[in-house]
Amino acid sequence: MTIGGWISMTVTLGFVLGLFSWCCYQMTSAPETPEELEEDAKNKPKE
Amino acid sequence: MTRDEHLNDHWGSRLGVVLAVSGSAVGLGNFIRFPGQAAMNGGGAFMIPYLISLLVVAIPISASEWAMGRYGGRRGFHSPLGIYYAAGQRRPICGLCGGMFTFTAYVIDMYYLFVEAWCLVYALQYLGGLLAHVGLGFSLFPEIESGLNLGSSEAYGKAFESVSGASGDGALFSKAGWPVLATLALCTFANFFLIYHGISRGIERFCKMVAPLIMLCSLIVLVRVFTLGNPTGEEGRSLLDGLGFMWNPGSVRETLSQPAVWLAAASQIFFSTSLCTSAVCTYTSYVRPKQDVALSSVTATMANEFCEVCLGGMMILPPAIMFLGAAAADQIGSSFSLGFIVLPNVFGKMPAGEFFGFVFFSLLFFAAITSSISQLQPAVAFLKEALGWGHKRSVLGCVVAVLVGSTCVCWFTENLTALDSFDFWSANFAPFLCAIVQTSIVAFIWGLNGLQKELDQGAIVKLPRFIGPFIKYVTLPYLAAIFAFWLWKNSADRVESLLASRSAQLSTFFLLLVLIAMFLTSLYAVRRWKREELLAAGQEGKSENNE
Repeated sequence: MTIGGWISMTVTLGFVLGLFSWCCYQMTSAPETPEELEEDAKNKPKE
Repeated sequence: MTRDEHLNDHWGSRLGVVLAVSGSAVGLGNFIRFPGQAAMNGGGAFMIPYLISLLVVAIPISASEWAMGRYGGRRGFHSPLGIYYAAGQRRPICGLCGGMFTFTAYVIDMYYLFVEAWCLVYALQYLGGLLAHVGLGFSLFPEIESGLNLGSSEAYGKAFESVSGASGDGALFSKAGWPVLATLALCTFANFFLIYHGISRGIERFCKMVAPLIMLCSLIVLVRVFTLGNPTGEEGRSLLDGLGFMWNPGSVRETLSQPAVWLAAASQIFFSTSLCTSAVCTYTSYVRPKQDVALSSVTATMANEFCEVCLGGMMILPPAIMFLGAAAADQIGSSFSLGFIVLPNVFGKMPAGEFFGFVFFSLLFFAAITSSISQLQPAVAFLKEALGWGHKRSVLGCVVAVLVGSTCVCWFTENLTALDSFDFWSANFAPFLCAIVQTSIVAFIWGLNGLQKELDQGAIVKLPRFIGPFIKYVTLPYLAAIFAFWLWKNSADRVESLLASRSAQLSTFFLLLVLIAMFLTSLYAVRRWKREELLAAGQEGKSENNE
């Protein structure tokens, strides 16, 4: 593999992985909406 | 599922909808088509137009499609027919366009289920080979060894011919073809079973279960590829040589000066993200009114890119080069020959290849099934909205329509003519046209303010305010230019193949009939809605006068 190959692979993988990880982090760290909490409560088995 | 339950059906969580939409996009194109396209169009240099297309086409269109879907869903519409009608400010022509674009959902399912069946057949063949070690081996085809240890490239080609029926029309409707037809029936049943159980109890549960399986299977194959070293010991066949074949950029200036490379990159991004094939806007119409669509749209697009670039780009071509050398390079242009001839040949030569073949084809099967159910949902929603049918009746109607089309694809199998025609019109031509119409509706009828307002509602992270003008002034002209060039490049070949083959003519005629049926059904629905709106407006006026 040439240096150009290493550069193109690293830049492309870095860009895709970076943006995807940022999106996942934002998605998982955001608080749930009242609608989602309501849905969770509905799906929880009754004790 | 009752009618009321269906009307109130929503995604249970934001993770569910993101997994379902990315599952819809992740399919054979990510794992088989992308590496071939990249290697043939300049390797690493191809990634420049590819990433530009991701930023200019995929992310903006995905955001606008998610916003449009939720906007339609809030108004009680769940099929492209109704969603386009709502976003088009109740203009009948917009509804008609949306209804006709549901054509893609029906037609893609008609042939995609067949391809899904091939993946399952290959996975079962490998499983038969694995079980042979404990004395329980089996093969679905008497002439093909279980475990697919066939030796020569020609033998793998012949095996694929048996599975796909490519030797002649009607080849599958013989004694030898029954395993493929039985597998197709099984896939069809599984798809409709999931659709019948609705969004949250059917599709969402299934996608949450299958997404980790897809990741696990990919990781197993990826680890195997990275630990192979130089299996043949020959020069030029190491892992780095395999990666270099895929990623070395060659002459960047020369590659970027070729319009065909830009076209290939834009087409790859566009087709692999499944945008404008009805699936995304239908799925997002079930998003709750205050649930995020802005960040979710980008996350779903990037999840697809992760599977394509980080998994497909790293695990498919390197082993092909490591085991087969330059001989593999001639066959990577066609997705089917790379996936069903070259890769089985590679697994045949790989230590413990039966196990990795089983894992790989299971991965393809799972990726294919999440894509096919995403195309069935708009088809079912179309029947419900256009004809006012209940859930059960719509699912049954859809089964009949898809089975008729699948029979056509399974019969005209010589050189896979029908499959090729169906694929060209529904997954290549129509989505391009649909994207241009959809972007025009967003830019000129719904309005950029409407789009921004919808994107901002419930947004976890707000998208930049220039997204609307960007779609109008950059994405739309870029798409139109790419579409015009694509038509110019492909239309001559298409006409030639149409004139040369009677099977191609018959399958295109069948597609024309489907399109006419979609048009008439959409026309009926839009006229009914207009009549109901007039009646409602009249009654409102009357009650105001009485007061």
